[in-house]
Amino acid sequence: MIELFHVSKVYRDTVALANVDLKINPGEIIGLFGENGAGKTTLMKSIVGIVPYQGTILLDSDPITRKNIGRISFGTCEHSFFGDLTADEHAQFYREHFDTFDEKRYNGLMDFFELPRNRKLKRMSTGQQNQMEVILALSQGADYVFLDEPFAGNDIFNREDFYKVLLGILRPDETIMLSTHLIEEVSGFVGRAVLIHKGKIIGDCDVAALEENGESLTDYVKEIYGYQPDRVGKALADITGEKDI
Amino acid sequence: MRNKREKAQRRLFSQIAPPKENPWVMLLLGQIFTLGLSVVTFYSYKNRLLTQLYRFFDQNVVFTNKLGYPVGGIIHGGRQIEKLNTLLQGILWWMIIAVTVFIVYAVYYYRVYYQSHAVYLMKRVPDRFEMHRRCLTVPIILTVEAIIIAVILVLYCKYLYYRYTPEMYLPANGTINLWRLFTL
Repeated sequence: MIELFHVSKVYRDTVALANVDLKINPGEIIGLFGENGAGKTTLMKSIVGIVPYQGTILLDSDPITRKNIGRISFGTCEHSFFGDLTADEHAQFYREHFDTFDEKRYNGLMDFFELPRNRKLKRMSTGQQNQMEVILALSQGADYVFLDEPFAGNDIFNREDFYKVLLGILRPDETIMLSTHLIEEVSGFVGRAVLIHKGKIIGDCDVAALEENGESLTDYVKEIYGYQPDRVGKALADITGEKDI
Repeated sequence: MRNKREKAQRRLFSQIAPPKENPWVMLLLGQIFTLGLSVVTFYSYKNRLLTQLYRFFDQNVVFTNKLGYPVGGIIHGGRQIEKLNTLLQGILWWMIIAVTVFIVYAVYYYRVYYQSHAVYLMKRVPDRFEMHRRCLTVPIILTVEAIIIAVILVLYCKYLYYRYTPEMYLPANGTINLWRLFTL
């Protein structure tokens, strides 16, 4: 289990995370939602150890250090691979550094998405690069996989394929945290939704429980964020001067 | 067994530079650069040192052999040769240039990671020194080589100075001020 206690992060005068408490249990598939600048990326980077933070983050009651960092993997739309290496060279790099590297999963995903193994990653399309980032994160053999807007730039068919494949290949104790804006698209995929706003966790719910109550994830998110459906109409009326918009 | 050792060696050497960067090319270029600078400096200072010795003997010693080396008798009593420190002033100026170039090497290597966000991956690998080893090994090897060359250079010049200067002409305080060796 990953536990966050009073985690805060300030970039100069901007509060990115404000006293965040969160528990991430083994086997969960979590959607992390929030507007741009809400703190999703900072939250993930803090857990993964990429940015320094204040507070405590524990992995099975131990601080996250180089000793146990291999149990966590991270895929990001910023792309953390080496552009000059090919896919197979990356696999070799992961093999050398992570004892848990899952060869079978890597080969299976590479074949499924028909990605070129011997082409430099910088020569691939953005969609292929995103796929490579996710494939490497999933093949590391980590217990906790954090994916930060991994499919920005991929078409909907591609994304849906990925969700299906992902659900099919995950081990029961493998945890995924996925940050995205595509709430409706992932609502059938995630089991838990965490909402973040201005660096604070403002919502945390079980998606199945929501559905049992007849509520959709999108409605829940709108409700928590205090979304005003008539906001657009009011704005247009103000701009155009027409009353019935 | 041999295969395993070779594999381990290959891995070690492949890890002293960022992926796809050839550390041997950088090492070779760095060594050529260091040696070139130091050899040029050495010849210029060796000549300067020997010229100074010769001039001193020529002006102050009466009996010299054909090479100008003193074979006895003085002379203009009380005269002493210039301090080694003065004669070697600036002999290590090339090290400043060389080390600056090696720092640029390191910056270039770190840039490979930071520019591509591959630093995120490097911060997640279990070996905390992985990235630093890949960025700093080549510059450190070259710097150590430069230091060794510098020490040899200074010691050899010191040897020449003491070898060819009779004791009676040596100045009282012969210690070398390192700082002066770097300043022109």
